[in-house]
Amino acid sequence: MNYEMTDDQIALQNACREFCGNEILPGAVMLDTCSREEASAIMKGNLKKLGSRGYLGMGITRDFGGTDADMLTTVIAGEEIAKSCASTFITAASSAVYFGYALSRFGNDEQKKRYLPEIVSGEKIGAIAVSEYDAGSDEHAMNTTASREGNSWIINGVKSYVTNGPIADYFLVAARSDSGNVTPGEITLFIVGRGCPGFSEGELSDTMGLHGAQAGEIICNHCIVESIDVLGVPGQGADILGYLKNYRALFTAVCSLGISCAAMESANRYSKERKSFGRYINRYQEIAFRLAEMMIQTDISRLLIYKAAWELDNHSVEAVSAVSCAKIFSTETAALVSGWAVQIYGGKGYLKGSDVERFYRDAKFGEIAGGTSELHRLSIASEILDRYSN
Amino acid sequence: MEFGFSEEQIMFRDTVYRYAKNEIADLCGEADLKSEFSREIWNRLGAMGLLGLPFPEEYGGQGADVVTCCLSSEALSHAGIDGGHMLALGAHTYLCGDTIFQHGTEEQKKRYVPKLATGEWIGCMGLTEPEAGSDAASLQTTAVKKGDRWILNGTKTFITNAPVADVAVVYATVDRKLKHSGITAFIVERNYKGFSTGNPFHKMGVRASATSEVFLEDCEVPEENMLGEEGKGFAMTHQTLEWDRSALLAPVVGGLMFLIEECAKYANQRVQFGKPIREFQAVQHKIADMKIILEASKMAVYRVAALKDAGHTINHMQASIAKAFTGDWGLKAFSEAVQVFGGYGLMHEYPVEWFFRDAKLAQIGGGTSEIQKMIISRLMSF
Repeated sequence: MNYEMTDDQIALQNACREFCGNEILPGAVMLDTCSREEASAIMKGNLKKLGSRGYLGMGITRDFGGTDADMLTTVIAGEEIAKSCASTFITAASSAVYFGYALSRFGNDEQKKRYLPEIVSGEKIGAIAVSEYDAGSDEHAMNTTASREGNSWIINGVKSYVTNGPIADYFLVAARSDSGNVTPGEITLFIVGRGCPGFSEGELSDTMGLHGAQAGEIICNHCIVESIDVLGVPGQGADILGYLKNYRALFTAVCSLGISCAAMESANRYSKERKSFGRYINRYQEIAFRLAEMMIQTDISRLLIYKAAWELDNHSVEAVSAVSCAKIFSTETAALVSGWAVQIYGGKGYLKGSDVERFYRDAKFGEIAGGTSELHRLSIASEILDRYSN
Repeated sequence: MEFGFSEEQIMFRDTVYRYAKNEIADLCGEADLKSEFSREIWNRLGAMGLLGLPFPEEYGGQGADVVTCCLSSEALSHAGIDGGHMLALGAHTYLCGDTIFQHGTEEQKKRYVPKLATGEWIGCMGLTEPEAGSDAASLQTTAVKKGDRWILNGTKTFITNAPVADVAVVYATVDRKLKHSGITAFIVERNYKGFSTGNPFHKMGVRASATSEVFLEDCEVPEENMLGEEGKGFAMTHQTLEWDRSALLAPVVGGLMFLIEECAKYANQRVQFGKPIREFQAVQHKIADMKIILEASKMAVYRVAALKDAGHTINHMQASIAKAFTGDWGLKAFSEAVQVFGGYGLMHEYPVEWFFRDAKLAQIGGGTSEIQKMIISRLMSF
């Protein structure tokens, strides 16, 4: 047992912290408040910057431009990105992890060669389009269909809340295959380019937070996709989504950890500058103990995330449960801690443009995305209850 | 980072768990009910070498590392050993025995450690006083050198194991004006003139550990029984913090494991409204919350242990996080366990009842949660 980071991990953490502090953090307020066009431009720039430093290729093999880092190392860097700008982290994760890992794990060589190097460098942006208005956590309720016609598939349906929808170049679109050699109703994933015939953007999502990570509908109206753009084999979609589930939950947790950490540090700094009734407010136990609680929960979030990443690296049977524990605790912590940060700032924290106000809006996302807290709790509990059912 | 245990550690843990489950656990409910420290339980713990784990073999111990000590305590609680006996073990081995082992002269170690390692002698540690709890440096017990003896005067309170102890590590000040740097440790045997203990307190939880006051009335301690150097006692109390924040918290981790299993079994069997209560999401969520708290506490506690094993001096931030989190969140989890059992959870027949009462101690003993938050907030210098 060893709780210490390797020298390489410490070096990476420091480098990533410095880089994000200089290159990503200064644009975070702008990303939150600017127009969509401006946000798209800043975000594309951010991804290229992250890509140039190798941060978008951490779980991808070297053949395709990645650094082949393990999950534990990846989340160490991820925390720094999320801490500097949660929107940038979510955009990067949607592209490099959800799109990138799926291709890396299930794509054939042609597909990997074609898409991964550009995703890793940040030149192109990926997204995953699974959710629909009436099918969120319950992906089996999906209505989008794919019908085989010769060597092509015809996709019809509307995907909602697609993160990176407005800026992505490539989408992994999940659809029910309703013909061909696939059992009716099985899910298949297709790589769909923005320029694909029949592809269009629908309504943009006007979100509470994470304004920089733009989301929106994508519409496949008789969208024609070649067979070579099926990811894996037809009908394998549920497996691929299952594989991604752990990563989506874990990276949502990392996003929340970054927010908690930023909110806690910001409130801590402020408590030492702000005087009230003649004393710095951190001299009041109400504030000091609240800050301690923020520190405790942030630190515990990090421990649970490291543990989950370590279990994933070890292909452990405990991984699913560990990811759920990390996901629930970190995301609920971010919601609490960012709220407490607003409280410590008082009126200033309620103003638009203040960091903690943004953290508070950004944080709520975590409890919903990557599997709601409720679903993860059910998953943890049923595993335990089944084990002791005799 | 590597969060797994070695094969040897896992095997040892399994052995302790099985032994405790088969040979000890059945005695614990009654001990709690009677609020009685059980010599029988103590002897069985001693027979397996579990009372002297950290000491080298030449002193009758097992030479276990800190992680293994934590695993042992985790396994014992997981098997259903009550918090009272776990606290007795903690005070005996880590607060008394290990303090003597770490700071004692060769003669002191040879005289006390082997007897403590087997459990033949029971040890306790006397720091807290009626007017000096969290603020330990304000202690009032005095030590005055007279010839070849130290004369101790004062009253210690809330001393775990005091009514049954054969030997005590007692902290006293040689000069109150010196505050911290006047505090000095002494090894005091029960039969020394002027040493006596009060009647056991009736406690909310950890009832099977015996707790009382210790009275030092012109208590005569031979000069060779000063432990460590004069004025160095306060630093010694700080070293025991590493145990306070690891091995003494491990029973909470094991207790959570035990109760999650008990709740899962119960929720599968108990039928209401025509179906097992496991079908109700409210019950499922409680079990999930307990599991999250278990995993989190485990990570926090073993971090302190692993860093001690790696030879690092205590990281107060991490140690206080382990203590505060395990204390505050642990209690919530134990409370949820009672809730799953409903009315039965209030009955002593079900271990959730006494585990819940025992869990309150973790928020108070060895530095309250509030003290931990005070320490944490002072360390937030960024």
